[in-house]
Amino acid sequence: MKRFFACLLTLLILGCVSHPETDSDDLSVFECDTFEIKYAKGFEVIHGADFTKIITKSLPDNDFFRDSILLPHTANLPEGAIKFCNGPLRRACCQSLTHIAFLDKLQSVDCVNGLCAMDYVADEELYGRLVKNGVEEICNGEQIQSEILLKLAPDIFFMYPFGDAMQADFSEKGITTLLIAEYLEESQLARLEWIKLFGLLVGRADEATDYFDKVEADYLEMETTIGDGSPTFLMNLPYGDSWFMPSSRSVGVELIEDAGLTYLYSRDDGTENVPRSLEEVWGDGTVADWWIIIAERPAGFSMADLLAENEVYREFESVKRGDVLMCNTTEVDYFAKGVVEPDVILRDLRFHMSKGWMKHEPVYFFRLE
Amino acid sequence: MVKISDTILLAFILTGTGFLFALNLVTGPEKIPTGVVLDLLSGGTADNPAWSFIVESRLNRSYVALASGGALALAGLILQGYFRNPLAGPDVLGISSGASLGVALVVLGGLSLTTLSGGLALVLSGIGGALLMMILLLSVSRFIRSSVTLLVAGLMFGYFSGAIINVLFQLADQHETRAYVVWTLGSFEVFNHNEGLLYLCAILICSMLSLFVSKALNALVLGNEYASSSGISLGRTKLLVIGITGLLAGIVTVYCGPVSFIGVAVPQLVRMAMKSRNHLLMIPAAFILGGFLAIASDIIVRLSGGSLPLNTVTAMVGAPVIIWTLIKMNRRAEV
Amino acid sequence: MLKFEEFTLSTEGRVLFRLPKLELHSGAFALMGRNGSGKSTFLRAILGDHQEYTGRIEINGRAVHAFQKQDLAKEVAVVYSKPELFGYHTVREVLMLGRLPYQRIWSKESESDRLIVFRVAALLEIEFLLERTFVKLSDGEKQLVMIGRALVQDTPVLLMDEPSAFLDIVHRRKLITAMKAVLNDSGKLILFSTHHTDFLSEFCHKVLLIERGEMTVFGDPLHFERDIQRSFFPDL
Repeated sequence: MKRFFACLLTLLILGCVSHPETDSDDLSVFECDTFEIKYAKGFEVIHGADFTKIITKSLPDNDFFRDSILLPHTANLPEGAIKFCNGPLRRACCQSLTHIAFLDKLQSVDCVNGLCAMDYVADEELYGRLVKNGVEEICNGEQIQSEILLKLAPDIFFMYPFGDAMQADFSEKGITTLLIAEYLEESQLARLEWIKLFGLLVGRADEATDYFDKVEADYLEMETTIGDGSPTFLMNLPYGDSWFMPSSRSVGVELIEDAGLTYLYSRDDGTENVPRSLEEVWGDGTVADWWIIIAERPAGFSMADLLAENEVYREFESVKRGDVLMCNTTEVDYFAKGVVEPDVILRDLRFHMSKGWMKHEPVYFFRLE
Repeated sequence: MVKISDTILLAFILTGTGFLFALNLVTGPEKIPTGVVLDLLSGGTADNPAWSFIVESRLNRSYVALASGGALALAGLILQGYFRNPLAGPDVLGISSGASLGVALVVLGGLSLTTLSGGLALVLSGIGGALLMMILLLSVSRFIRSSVTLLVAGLMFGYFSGAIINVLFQLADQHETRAYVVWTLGSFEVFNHNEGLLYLCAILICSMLSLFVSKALNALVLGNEYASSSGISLGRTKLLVIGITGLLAGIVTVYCGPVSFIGVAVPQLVRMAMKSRNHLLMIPAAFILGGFLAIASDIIVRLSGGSLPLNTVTAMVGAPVIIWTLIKMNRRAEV
Repeated sequence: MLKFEEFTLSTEGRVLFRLPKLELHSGAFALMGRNGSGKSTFLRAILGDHQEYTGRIEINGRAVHAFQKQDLAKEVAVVYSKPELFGYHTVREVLMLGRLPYQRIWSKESESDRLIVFRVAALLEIEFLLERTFVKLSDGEKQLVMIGRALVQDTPVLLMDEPSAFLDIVHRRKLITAMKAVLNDSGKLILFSTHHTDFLSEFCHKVLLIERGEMTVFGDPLHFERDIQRSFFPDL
């Protein structure tokens, strides 16, 4: 009997899986003197003597969440440390394509080994690189595949809140997660500012700040205030019997307004898309000066295709004047890459509005012909 | 002989439908004065260029609603008479699901939804799916005595189609699934120009075929054996029933998406309201009443500003009707 | 007139019974036999619904399989044991269903149709039921109506498949009374299958018994009871 227990005990001890020790790299990359956050309200950076703490949290309007991660400067962790990341990011998994976009801007896409909805990456070149790196698909539809995630063993798994309520599960399994909620920010620049967070994590905080400052300056320079005489615009396309018009407070609309166009629907109606009747929008279409479409359509979608969808578009003022701008999301990663390049988007819009006297190659929005 | 009150009833439904048809043309989220509507319909123009499109769209929608509601109600009438079950209908028996599967195969397989002129593959596939379901159901019906069990079998076939559609979903492209999902919401907004009228004519022609099966439906009230002894060819009837309901349910589902409840609720209303048991009269009554309900649903859909999809409205209208008639039927049987 | 020649009835490959020759004219004929002996199948064969047999069945000199369905319906009518109606038809409307073989695709009632319905209702003494809802009647009343429907069909031959199976003794008596009235009224040929031997001698002309693969004909009403008993229980 005693021998049995001895064997059992030995087995139990041996059975504990030992996790590989991570070698401590240069942890000093996490030190930075000043860390300014100008616009973003969803994350904070706190400096301690031995560590940097990143906190991501909900905005007042949202359901509450709060997450944090510690980046130790030395190997000494403060007591009660919950989540930490030793050294700059080596392996990461991302639940959202926007996370990839941030990392790509920081030339750190190579540290990504797992991605959700990889097939939806519209950028051919980026997709090619991901495939070459052997990045694996970690989601099956909406479901995150824990087994694959465990196999990939990322240093951090970037998740968005409210998506999958499995964050608790992951920490038990030894996967460090971090909630990234850049999409809850209320302006393009605030969303872009999250690049600083990623910069900290990959050890390129300065690059991130430099990039941000440059884009911010560009953006603010092009930003135009709207007045009474500004041209009007409406957006997008119908879905069945309704036309889901983005809310006037949505970031996408604000960006276009920053280009100097007035949204036709400036009533206060929350941040969700508002369904409107087809008849109402058709009527509005005949007066709106511009029509900005961000939609998923087969590649090579043309004006003829648009008119084939419904004859009534012929009567749209914007169609008659040729002022229809389209961002085809099957060709361009508006929702992912667009987050890190708001200045390019703004420049696209300004370029089209200038009708030629500006020199620029559009990337996101093209005039529909 | 037609009972006097039945003629009045028929006239009543007809005028009611006509009224709703007109109402559908003049009401809507966009307020267009009636005079302008009439003007536009007779070929004039309006100040606001969008208005002529809006009125044309309303007209087409009215045609489509009338035709689709009528076709589904008619299919339901035939199915209820053939299976001798008040709960039978193209949606319950999985026929619409079969048509959906046919559509899914085409849409999720790569072709895009087009209008009347271009979607031949879609139409054939949809009708084919509906017919296939009917044939499956009928071959199973030989082994199933209870008509309630048969309904359950129909539901199961429907679920099975749904499962296959889900698989197709996983394999399909983004915009294909988007197109398909939009289609499943159901809508009468499908045609441009005068294609709506063509659609109505096509449906009317198919519906007239049902007159050939009206005598059999009259005889079938006592069951297959009695009907056979009255001189009804059961084989021929079966073919006609499959063909007609498959065609009607298939065409409507392909263009408007799967529309529920009208096919089950309307025949019940007709049977309750009409005195005559002759299907020859019940057929036009069901068609017109189906059109009535469909146009009413369309008005509600449009006035809701597009926030209520068609199937939600038909459910809100149809489900209470079914429950009410079930209760009434139960009470009658108990007396 | 019903005639059988060299008739062997089978089902699913199994022979049910043999009948070398039989000719029936007007009158009432009881068809008896054990469960599964082939009574219902026999009736279905006469109706043209069952084809697995050898030999000939002739109705008024013409083979059954030579008839068009609608024409055959003008020669043979049938009553089954339990009617199930889908709908709230009145008795009058159910009776009118018997006129279907004579109606075109429009199922339009004619004046003569209405007269026939009334006459049959009077014959069966069910006029008081005419405006009642069929599904609310008792089983006995329903069967009377179904016989009425078959009579309205106005055929020289009337088949009944266990018509009194669900009826109590009082209603069985009513059924017999009705059948007697029918026989008095017209020279119909009524062939009915039954398990009940009561009342047979009152009005039946012959009993056709299926036993041990053969159909035997008993022609003596007085000895029906005895003959039937002997056939089923030869040792008693």
